[in-house]
Amino acid sequence: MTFRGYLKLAQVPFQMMLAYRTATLIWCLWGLLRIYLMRVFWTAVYGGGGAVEGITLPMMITYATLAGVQGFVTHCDVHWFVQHRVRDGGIVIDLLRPYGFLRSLFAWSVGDSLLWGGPMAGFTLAVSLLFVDLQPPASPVAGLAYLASLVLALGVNFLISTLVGLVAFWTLELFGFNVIVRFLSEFLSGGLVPLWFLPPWARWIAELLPFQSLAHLPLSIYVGKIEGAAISVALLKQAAWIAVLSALAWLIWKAAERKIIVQGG
Amino acid sequence: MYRLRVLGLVMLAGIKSRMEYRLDFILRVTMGLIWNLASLVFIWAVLARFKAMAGWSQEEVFFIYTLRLLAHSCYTLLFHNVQIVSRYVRWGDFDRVLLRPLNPLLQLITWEYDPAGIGDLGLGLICFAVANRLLEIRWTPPALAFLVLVMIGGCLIELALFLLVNTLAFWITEAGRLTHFIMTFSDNFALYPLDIYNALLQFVLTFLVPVGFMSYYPATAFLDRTGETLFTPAFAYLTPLVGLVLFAIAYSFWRMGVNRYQSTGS
Repeated sequence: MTFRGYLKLAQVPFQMMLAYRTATLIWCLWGLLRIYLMRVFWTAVYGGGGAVEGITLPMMITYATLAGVQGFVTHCDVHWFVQHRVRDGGIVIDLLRPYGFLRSLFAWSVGDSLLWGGPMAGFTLAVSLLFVDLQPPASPVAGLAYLASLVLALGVNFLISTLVGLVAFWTLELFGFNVIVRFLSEFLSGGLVPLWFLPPWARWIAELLPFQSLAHLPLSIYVGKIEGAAISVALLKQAAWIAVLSALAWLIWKAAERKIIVQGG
Repeated sequence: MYRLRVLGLVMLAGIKSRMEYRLDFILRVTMGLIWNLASLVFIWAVLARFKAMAGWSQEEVFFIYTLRLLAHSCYTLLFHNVQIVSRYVRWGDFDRVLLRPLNPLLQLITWEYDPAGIGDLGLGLICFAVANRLLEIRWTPPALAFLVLVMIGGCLIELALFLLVNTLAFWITEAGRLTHFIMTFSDNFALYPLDIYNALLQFVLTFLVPVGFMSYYPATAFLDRTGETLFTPAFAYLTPLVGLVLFAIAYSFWRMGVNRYQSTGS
């Protein structure tokens, strides 16, 4: 299948957003509620005190708000789609189609992030400016590096989601496995609590896993906690994870293709 | 009495059918545990750094968390299905319910059983034991009796909130999605002392979405801090009443919805 075919796939999420307008709006409002809660929460925790671990309250609020907003863009749930296709046997049709299955997932996911996540993130960000004092990026370089890092975060999250999805070829059920991955990623990505606030052993674990690429690295770059040469190191880390996880996904996919069990087939 | 027996049997059958899938059952219980553990780890990580929160010590915030979790686990153990009532209504399954000679709401509540509540309760009890080691609360018989009432009241509050939102499904399509809001309020906002919020949120969490009564208000009674309870010290003891009243309102709203029900087109 040509590039145009993938492009069409990538547009589907956008059409879905237009079709389910109320649902989209409810999602946004829900995101705003959570951003507001985090603002109130961190303000209370800081309680007028100074910087903690070099993080001031305005920096922390900026971090938490952006974490909420960028979640719309980096979010990825292709694993549910894979499970669904494996379970109802539709995967067989997917394999007969004239395009790569993993590549089609990727096309969908890019569309989902940019055309569905993008407008929602934009809207949520604009509204949240009404009640949050968002700081600008630490420097123009930090701003650009943040965007680059965000794109890489999207890639890492897509790969994690794909890998989780591929497990369905063996287990048919992702429920438990997904919960564990979600739990790990919630904490070790730094999306909820910045990793600087975690005890050293937890930070050490986070350092070894890909999850910090999702939120901690891009957001640290934005607020200036990672700066100078360290920015390149952070981006390289993310790129390295993309290389490793892609290779892993490809290997597992090759094994999965041979492993397919079709229910009732 | 007959109805209670029928309900008990239906619920038992639900649990049994879930247990048929042993691994799934265990995973669901674990999930209940992990889901709540997530917010606990979050609070712990932050308070380990910051020590206190707007005049509340780490231990006291932990106790507020525990109170909410205990009430919440009563809710998930018994009534978790309320959360998906809107789905039954939209899919037209509700027709079947109306044909049977038992209260429609009770039927829906027992339709499927979610074992996640077992995990919730397990974690709740562990937290309660730990909180008692950290804080010296005198558990006199009246205090214990009040604790039971608070759990029932808190459970009713959560039940009523979910019922209210799900009843909207009789009028609007997207009601199911609104449950996320109730979840955010009860899973996130109710975990902290209410005095960290601004006046507007305090008002909302007390009078509109009264999740404050699941945790913060009764906690001020147990922790002997009624002197600083928001609005009036009496609120510290009001949880059971709030639960009953809110449930009564939600239930009459539900009756309105049922009376209005017309089956789906297909």
